[in-house]
Amino acid sequence: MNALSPLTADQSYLRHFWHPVATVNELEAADPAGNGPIGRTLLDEPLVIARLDGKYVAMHDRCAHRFAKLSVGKVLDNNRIQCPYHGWEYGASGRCEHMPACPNDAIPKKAFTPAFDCEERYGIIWVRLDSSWDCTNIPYCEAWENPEYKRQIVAEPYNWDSSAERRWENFTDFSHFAYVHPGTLYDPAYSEPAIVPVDRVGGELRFFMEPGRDMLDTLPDDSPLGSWNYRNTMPFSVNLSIRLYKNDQPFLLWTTSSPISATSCRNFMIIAHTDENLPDSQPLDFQKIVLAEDQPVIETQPGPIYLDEVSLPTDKISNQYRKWLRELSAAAAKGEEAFKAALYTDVTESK
Amino acid sequence: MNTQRVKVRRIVEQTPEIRSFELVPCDGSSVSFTPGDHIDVHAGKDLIRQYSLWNGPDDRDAYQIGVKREENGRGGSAAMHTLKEGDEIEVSLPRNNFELRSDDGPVILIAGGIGITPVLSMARHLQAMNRKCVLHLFARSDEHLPFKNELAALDEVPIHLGLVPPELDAVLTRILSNPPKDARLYFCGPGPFMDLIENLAKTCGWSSDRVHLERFSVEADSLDLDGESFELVLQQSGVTLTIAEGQTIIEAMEAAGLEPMTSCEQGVCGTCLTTVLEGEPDHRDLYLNPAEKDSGTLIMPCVSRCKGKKLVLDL
Ligand code: FES
Ligand code: FES
Ligand SMILES: [Fe+2]
Repeated sequence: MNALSPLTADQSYLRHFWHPVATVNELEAADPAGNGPIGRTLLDEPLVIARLDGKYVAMHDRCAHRFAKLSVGKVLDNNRIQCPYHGWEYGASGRCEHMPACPNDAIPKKAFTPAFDCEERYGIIWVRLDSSWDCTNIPYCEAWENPEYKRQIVAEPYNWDSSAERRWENFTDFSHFAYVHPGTLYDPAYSEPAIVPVDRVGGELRFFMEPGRDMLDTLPDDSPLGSWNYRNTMPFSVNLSIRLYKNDQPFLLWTTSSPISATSCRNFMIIAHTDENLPDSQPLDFQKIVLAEDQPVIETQPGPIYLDEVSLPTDKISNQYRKWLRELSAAAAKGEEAFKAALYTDVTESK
Repeated sequence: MNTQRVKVRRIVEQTPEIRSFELVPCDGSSVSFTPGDHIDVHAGKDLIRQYSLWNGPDDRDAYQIGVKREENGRGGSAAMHTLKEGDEIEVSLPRNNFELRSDDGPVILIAGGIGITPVLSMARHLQAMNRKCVLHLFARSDEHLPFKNELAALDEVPIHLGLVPPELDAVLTRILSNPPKDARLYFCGPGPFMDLIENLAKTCGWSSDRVHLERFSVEADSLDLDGESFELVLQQSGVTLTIAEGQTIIEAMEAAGLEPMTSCEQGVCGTCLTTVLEGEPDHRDLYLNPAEKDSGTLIMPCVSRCKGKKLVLDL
């Protein structure tokens, strides 16, 4: 067999985007004060995440001294991370500020670990590894924007042995519903998906689709059947805003996949709805069923996407998504201006 | 061309989604067909769709088809649903990919939704010949049950409403269990429904030569690959080729022993994306956006051609 051709030659463009790494809840679970530290991996970069002086920080998870992991150390006085091995202490900038073995000696200039841009939003901690072009934003999420929503649930993140690209494609793939989710999300009778207009607007891939209304007859009540409006911030976010057929209320499924490596991802999910009395477990459990249907299939795919895969016209969303990824990767290799143009030149098909 | 002009004589609202159309040949000729036949309907410019006939043996003056409106379809069913009685359209002569065999064992027919059309025709023929047959019809609800009048005229039509897995599997297994040696199974419906029946039939011991099915064709807009001949210069390879009428650039390259990189060969995936160095591309793909098409610098050679006489590509 001939060697396969990957979709993108160079994945480094992904470093210019904001990616989620942990939820605030996870940090709190790791340490009652909510300061961390915890260890996470983003694009093969091991990170230590902590809250110092009330601000979230992300640094390369490696003490400059003997390369022990800072994430298994401690946060001291709410403002320093202490290495577990010899006690070097690091401030928010990533500089070592104290070496207990020789407290009065000058601190070597190279005694630091790189720190990255880090922000909290939607109860999630976000990191951008390369901020040199500073031209990307934390993905759009409608959950707190729409006052109709009475409840926002930040789910516990879950890992898949799959790439973030595959996870995104799986979430937005119209032609798998009838196969992977018969009776859950979709009636098997609707196996031929619509081909919808796909727009690029402000760094988001947008599209809209209305699944058949009469599936209401056969699907479980928890199934979020309605008109589906997608505003997906590139590269791995999905904001699926639904107007439910059953009661005409909005329902939001938001997910962002975080690339741990080329073959694994950690997935963040927010559900927002209008029913104050609905226990969180109900929509969460329904999503668990859906995910359990997807995961075993998606994990059989290779992580990277290949040009050799045979696409159909009905794979339009995936085809157009891949097209954009390919352009972003190529543009990033050319430099800042090309990258900004590739990301922010709007292309609209819908009227 | 093997088409004929027909007039829409009658349209019946079978269900909220399904309409049936009676199409009479404009030249007054009668129609000849066999059960399981379908016709190509030219629903609009570049929109050719295939619909099965549900004619009974005595329906000889018109083609009877049923069209389900796909909410988000690609235009074919929507175009059909704009037709009015009295309109005229072009259709092909009937063809058959789903033939009713003429031995006389018992017959099981299964249809899902609009997949009823070819098997309804089969059931009507079998009954007229006094052959034993059962037609199992699966639909979402009574409201979604088409052809109620025609079904009422059949002897044995169990109707199964609103079933999803796992009940659906259980009911189908019951229908398919213990097949008599000389029985035949015919079925038509949506893809996953068909897959399910195919698998269950295997499990229930049906031998594959007794199992007959017809899949719906995907309602994709058929690609127009026609166009005049032109000269193609491949700059990197230093090769000049002549692209014949109706031949694609990729086909010509392959015929010349080159190995261009392709995948879908339908102008949707982007794998064959190529830079145009000279000449004006005639875009036929669904991949490039309008600005890229207008720029004239990119082409999908698996489907696109040249507006002039000569095209130079960076290949
Ligand atoms: S049918 Fe889509 S991956 Fe196999
Ligand atoms: S091979 Fe897919 S667009 Fe040409
Ligand atoms: Fe799925």
